[in-house]
Amino acid sequence: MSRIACLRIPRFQIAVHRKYEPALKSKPLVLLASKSSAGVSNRALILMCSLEANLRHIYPGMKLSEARAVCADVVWRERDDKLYTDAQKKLVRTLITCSPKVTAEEPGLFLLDASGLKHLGGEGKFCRDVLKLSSQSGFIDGHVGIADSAFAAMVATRFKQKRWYLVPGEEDASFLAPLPIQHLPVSEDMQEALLGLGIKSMGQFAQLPENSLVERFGSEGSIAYALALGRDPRRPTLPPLQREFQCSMELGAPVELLNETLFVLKSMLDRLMDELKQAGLWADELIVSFYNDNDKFDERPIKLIRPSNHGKFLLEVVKLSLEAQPLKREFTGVGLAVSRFSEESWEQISYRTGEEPPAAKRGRRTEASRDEDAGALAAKYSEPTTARSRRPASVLSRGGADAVSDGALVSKSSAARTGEEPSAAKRGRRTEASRDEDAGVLKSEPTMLLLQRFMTRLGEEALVHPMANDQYLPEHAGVWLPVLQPPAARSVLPVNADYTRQNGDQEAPASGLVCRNTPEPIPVFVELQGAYPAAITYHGQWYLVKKITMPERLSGLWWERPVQKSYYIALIEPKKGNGSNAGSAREPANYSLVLLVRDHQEDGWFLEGFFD
Amino acid sequence: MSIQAQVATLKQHLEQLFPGKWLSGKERQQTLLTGITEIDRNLNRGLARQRITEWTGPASSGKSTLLRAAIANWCASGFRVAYVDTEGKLMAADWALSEKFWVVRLEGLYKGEQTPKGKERAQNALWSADQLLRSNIFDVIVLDLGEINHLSSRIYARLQHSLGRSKAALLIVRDGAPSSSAWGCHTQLSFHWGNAVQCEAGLDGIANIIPAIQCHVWRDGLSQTTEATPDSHVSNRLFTHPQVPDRRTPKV
Repeated sequence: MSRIACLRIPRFQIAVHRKYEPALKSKPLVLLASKSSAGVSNRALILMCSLEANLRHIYPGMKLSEARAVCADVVWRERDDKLYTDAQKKLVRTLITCSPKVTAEEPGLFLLDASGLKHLGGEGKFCRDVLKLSSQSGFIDGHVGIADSAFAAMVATRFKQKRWYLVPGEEDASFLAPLPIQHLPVSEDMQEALLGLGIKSMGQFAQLPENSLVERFGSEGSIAYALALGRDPRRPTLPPLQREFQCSMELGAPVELLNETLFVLKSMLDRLMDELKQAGLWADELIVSFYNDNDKFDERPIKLIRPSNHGKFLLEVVKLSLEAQPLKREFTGVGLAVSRFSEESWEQISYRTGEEPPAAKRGRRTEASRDEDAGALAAKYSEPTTARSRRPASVLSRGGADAVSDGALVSKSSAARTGEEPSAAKRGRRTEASRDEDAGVLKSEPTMLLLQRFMTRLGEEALVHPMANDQYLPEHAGVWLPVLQPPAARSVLPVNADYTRQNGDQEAPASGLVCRNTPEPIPVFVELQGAYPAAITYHGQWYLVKKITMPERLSGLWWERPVQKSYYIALIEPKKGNGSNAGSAREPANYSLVLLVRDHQEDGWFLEGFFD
Repeated sequence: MSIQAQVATLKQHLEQLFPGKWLSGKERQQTLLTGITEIDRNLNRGLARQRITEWTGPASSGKSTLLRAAIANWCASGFRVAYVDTEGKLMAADWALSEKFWVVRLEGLYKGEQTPKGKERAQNALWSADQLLRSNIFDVIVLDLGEINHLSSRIYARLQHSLGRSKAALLIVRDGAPSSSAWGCHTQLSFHWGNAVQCEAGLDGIANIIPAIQCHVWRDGLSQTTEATPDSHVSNRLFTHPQVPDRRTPKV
């Protein structure tokens, strides 16, 4: 008699996002269905919600705008099937330590072979081990069921009060009999028809004659009938063999110098890359490990901003990593592994518009074409892209990118040289072409190398670009987005530039004074004259307030964390120098313009920035 | 017309179409106009390519306001600008100008750590500037050192060396007085608030304070003072996503 275990991780997709972004824990998180390059649409449908979001009355099927109206704190991410598949494969590999046969049925649902556990601690221990492994992989909220059939085991995981449930052997039918027919994987029409006939439990359903069920509902009825009796042909199987690309080297003597380290790594990289090329793959992530007498003292994962199987490029990346974080001691052995890889593919995009052609035109670039000069290729060839992200990745040079948008560049040419303000019409005309140019430059080889260097040395979020956010509190009115991350990946509602332009706001971004904020608000002591500050002190110095604006009073929305602040712009002057340079036209003025804030929640005054 | 003259004419035409890409030799030493008339028309004459320009001034002096206006002008003209923000004082809302404007933010690297405020931060800033120059992607690179004042002449020489192989202009921004050791600077500009302060009246008091910005330029042993007044226009960036009312009849 075979026994089958089922591990169910509820809201698996949400758990995966939280695993990779721990900051999302305990936040109301929703997954959106739409995927657009322009950003997140307010009308995007919600596919899945976290428990916290459910508690705030957000449910799948709602629009994002509706969810935001209900809960302003809601955080959203777009569905990423590749991420879920990777996480699922990883968990399958982990679960193999419990059982040799593991199959991933659907996201968050795994079948394991649980036969022959009598002398291995029993099924209870098996359930505990599976849950322990799942928790160690970052999925703490799991349920396990064991039964003779896969269907009964799956149903057994739905008891929320119990972390695991064991259905006794040969009692699947009696276990399923009192349970409602909603557990059966049948269409809504069939379910409604059965309920209309007064059949509410699987036991009642199993008592119906099979022939009449087949006559009325076809194969669907037949399958459901078998499941209700505890007959399920699904069995866990051996997981597909994972290809591994790794190598290690024992050195005769300890090595410390960078050049010698790179020499060793170069030969290993060349070997691994040859293997990858033969298999038609390229690397997404490398792991380099250093050993000293079998003691692994350093292991560094190296993420690549674009997949590659080019040894020279990867050696440079490894070199950057070693330069940024030098080894703390000498080593006698080194290991190199390709921890993530994907299928190599090359796509050609349109020369003029940058649009990708249909998949039918996809073809591999030849080896010879790879060696050609990047600049020469720029006008002819498109970028190689991964099938996963469809992100062009390599060879457009700056000149090539400009050539793509030549029409726009004619109009852009002389503005900076002459100091003229570009007209709105010109700006509108070139917006689209400018985007093409931006895309080209972003994917060019020098840019990719630059981004890789910054990511290796300073981290993924060091190189950013600012984006205006449609929020009214100053601290939320703009966000820093990593250059490689699309706006849709963050919870940002970008300001609609077209709408702003249509309403006559042409030259807005560069007007007004620039505020440079302090790392933390500086508490200040204020001397009031009526309702307005007359003098302030901070860092041990008194300043006279020469001029001050009316307050701009802003508060948070009532369902959010309460914020009540009054913002003042104040012209302050050191008290000692008061009057010494007021009348002198030659000496520079000795005053500062600061952002003074009265925080009504904390009942205090703070200096939050300097206008510079 | 000789071939050389024809080539020169062709270069001029191409330079009109693709500014900054057809320059060679002496021609590469052109300047990028800032778009701020008061700065461009005087001794400064814009920002010199392949040269170091230094902007200094107290923490509140108006230099960032003029810098942002210049960057907005360059981005609108199709140039790419990179900004190395050593102290992380920039507010994203103020600088959301264009996708051609990238910022290297170094302050996020030190979260939760105590020590590396001085030397390591300066090293990372200089490394970033060097890499940006070598990449030859950007037309203008702004190295904002904030309160860091210990750049030696060797560092200026190193930066100048990197600039020699690039077409970019390097702008070093610092809080404080102009440094005497910065012999490598092509032009130095020092900023202060001017004595003229413009106050915009609101319904019940002052709505906005806009002081003039005074600028002292040193170049080739000459100096000059000029004054600029920033624009006080405030853009509308709120509620720019008008909702389309859903008038469909709900299903019964």
